[in-house]
Amino acid sequence: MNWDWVLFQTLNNLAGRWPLFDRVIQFLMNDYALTTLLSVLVVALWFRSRTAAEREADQTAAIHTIIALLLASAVVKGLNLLFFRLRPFTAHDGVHLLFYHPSDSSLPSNSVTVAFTFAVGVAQRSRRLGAIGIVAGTLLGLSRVIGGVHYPLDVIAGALLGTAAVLLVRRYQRPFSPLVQGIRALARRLLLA
Amino acid sequence: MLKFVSAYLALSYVAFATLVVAGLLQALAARYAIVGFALLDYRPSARRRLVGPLLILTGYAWFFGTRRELLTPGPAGAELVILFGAGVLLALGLTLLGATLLHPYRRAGLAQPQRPAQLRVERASVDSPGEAVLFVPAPADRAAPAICLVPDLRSREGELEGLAGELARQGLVVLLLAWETGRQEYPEALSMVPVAMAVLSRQPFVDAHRLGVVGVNLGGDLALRAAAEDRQIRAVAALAPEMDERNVLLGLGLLHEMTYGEALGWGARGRRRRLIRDLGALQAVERLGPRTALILYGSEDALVPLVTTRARLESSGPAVEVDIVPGESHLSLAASPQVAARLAQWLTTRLGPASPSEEPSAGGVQA
Repeated sequence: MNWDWVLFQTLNNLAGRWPLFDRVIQFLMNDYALTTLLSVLVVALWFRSRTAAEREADQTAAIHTIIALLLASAVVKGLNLLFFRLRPFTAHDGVHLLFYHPSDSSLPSNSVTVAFTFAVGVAQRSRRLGAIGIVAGTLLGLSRVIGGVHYPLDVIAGALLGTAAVLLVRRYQRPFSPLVQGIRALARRLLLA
Repeated sequence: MLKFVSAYLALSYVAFATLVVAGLLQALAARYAIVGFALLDYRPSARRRLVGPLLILTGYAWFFGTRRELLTPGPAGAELVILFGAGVLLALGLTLLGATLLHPYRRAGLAQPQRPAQLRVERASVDSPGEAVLFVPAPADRAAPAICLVPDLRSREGELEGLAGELARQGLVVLLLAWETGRQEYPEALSMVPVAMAVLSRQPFVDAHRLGVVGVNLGGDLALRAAAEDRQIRAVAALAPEMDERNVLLGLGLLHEMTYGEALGWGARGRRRRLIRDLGALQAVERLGPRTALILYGSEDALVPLVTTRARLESSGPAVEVDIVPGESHLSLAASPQVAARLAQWLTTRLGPASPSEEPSAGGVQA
């Protein structure tokens, strides 16, 4: 994993040089800014369509995205039970840390997993929303490396895991059909689907 | 076990998520013309469309500008999903409520078609206890053609007066009906138009050989059915008729046309669906010949699927002209001046020329 460490150092060395740049990275890497933006994309997907057929497809994709999120989160928890990778600021000296000390495993990045689940989930139905999501997910991953809380490999693993979860749910969606139909039927009764 | 860490930060995040989702809903309302979400009327001004993005930016500026705990451990993962979900529900509730409460003020702000100054408007008792409004256009130097105008089941009082006034200004006597409670089921509804026709025929200023019927939404279905049954009706026009019971949506599609409060009552506890099915307007169109029906839909109609409905109507024979009016929705169609002008021209052509005098005058109503 030498390349991982070298790339980490290259990116992390950008931190601590310019206060404004550090503030921007802190804004991007925190738990709320980009994850909220990505969650909003799923809400937009739910409500945006005008015709009944488009609405059904968009809302099915939104529910599949939430199922994929649950699946990806379960896989992350499972991986954390199998092995534990120390965070870069714990494993090495001289890391520029722009964040608090997360205590869970570094690999895979939980927040990037969530980000790419949302991004790829909405990208199935909307290129524009998907592009916004992928840019936001990439910025989140990059900022977390610059900020010193993840190695590049953690971020790549998170992105792959989130993408795989969405594709897996999409490929094997039949068992989820009753759940999807049930949620849509309930929402339709409330005039929200 | 959920750990929100800081109740203060958790509640702040809910407020932030509420503001951001509320902004998103306004942006969607402006972009996709969702009446049920719109706190403002977004059509007249491009600047108003900035309301949604501004709300989102305000949310971000407030949360990230004032919360100093953002870089300390706080709610994350499942806790954050729950808090975001609470924000979505709160934003949705506030938006739907706000749009419902503000909609009457937005509607009042829209320019209403002006009733011609000297037009005579009278209450006319069509059938006890029913009441209709009669618009009489011209001095009775010769009898004028007349139409009865059937509103939708959920039309508000006065909603079609602009259209009725415009048709009267073009020389047509217009009897604007109202749905009585006792006639909101089938087959009782079938008696509405014949009774109105009888009232119109008895008026001294009406030419009983030049009678037509115009219906709006569900009233359009009734108008088509009535014309199929009654050969005395020489012209029939329907504005955004429902045509098929499957078009009675009970879902998000309704919010593209109306507020949440209105949408809850749209189905009228199943009456709308039953009436559409029993009136069978699509089958009625096939029985209209040799007369022609004019059917208009708005290009932005979110309730009736235009492509399939148009194809079904046009395959029902030459007795129907279907036109799509750009920019109008299912519920805005009857208020469009463009539609009123098109309708008046079509009706006067079908029913014969209007009275030559431009000066409207009074006419005694004989119920």
